[in-house]
Amino acid sequence: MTHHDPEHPSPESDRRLSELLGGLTDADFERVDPPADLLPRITAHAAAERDAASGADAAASGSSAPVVISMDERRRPRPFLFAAAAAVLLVVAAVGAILATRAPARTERQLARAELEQLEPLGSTRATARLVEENGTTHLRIDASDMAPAPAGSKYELWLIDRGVTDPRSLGTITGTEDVVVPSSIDPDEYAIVDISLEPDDGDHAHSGHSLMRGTLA
Amino acid sequence: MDSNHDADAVLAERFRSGDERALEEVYREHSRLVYSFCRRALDDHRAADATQDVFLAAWRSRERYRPDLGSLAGWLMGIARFKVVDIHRTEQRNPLAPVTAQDAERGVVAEDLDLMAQRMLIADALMDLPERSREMVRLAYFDDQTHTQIAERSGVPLGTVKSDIRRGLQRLRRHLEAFDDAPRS
Repeated sequence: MTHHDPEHPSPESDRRLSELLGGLTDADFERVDPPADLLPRITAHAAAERDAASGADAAASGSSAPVVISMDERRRPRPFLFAAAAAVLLVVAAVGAILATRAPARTERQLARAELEQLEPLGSTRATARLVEENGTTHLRIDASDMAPAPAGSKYELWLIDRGVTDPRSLGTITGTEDVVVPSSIDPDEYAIVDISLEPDDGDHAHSGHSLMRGTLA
Repeated sequence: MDSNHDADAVLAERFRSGDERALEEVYREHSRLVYSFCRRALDDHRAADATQDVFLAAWRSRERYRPDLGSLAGWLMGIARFKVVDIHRTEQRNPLAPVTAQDAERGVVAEDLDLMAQRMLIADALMDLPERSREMVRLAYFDDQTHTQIAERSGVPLGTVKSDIRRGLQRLRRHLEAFDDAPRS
């Protein structure tokens, strides 16, 4: 579009305007109110498109970045995000299927298990520990899916403790369901006590003595 | 009038930046014009659908709207013209599409629809002009009076008549520039 100096309109622009003005009829001034439900229809569409776009952004930002969803956003349906999640699941399933057909059959054997008893009303209300041998390595699998976040300034830590309860060995921090490799230096027959402790962020790597959950592998 | 203009500019800027309440305000401001145009070319059901499409298309293309190049009303009517013309073309191509007797009687063609949209836009813009300016434009263009005749009959100095008309036409042209700048989809 060419933009004319409004003070000096082109002759075509003048002619067009005067033809339009000269052609005006009463019908050109008549107005009808649109139906009352039209505005809500339009704003609903706009809102749905905005939600879909924010869902697409979240999906595009990558799976490694945590997506923080506010409560307000969580209440609204986010169809596009669900679609994106479904697409991711499909890809994961497809890759899994390919790996399953290519990789040698995994050998997995449960060695022992323990129900962890809650000692303090913190962390998880109930948790299960399973000692599993998989392809020659020993894993400790903790299922504590309802574990609440640790209080500020502290963290949960997973331990295997000897039956005499004198030598706790750390298996690292834990936030919920976890799969950790048990180092070969730890004999789970002797270090059979599974312990989850609350550790203040004070730089001290020793057990705090503050155990929240505990159970013995059998 | 200038404060009106400023308010329009603020609303246009909010609309452009994606403020959903601005979309509502723009709708309240211009939906009668857009719907009335659609209603002259389509039955009420399709006119409502077309109006919805126009506002959503404008909303999706909001970043392409250039307030410096013209009015939001003109831009919306430019989009509406494309929508209605496209609906007519599609239905003419489809022999099974219901064509009402009214449609056939009207014998509407794209060019008519285009001009109808422009005339309705200009009609709205005229009503928005300050009263004296509107009256001068009316006398000059409906009654084909010369500027001198208008000055003589109204008792307004010739220079004032000329500047009133010039400023009025300038405002009308802004609507047409946006109309021409509107995206097809």
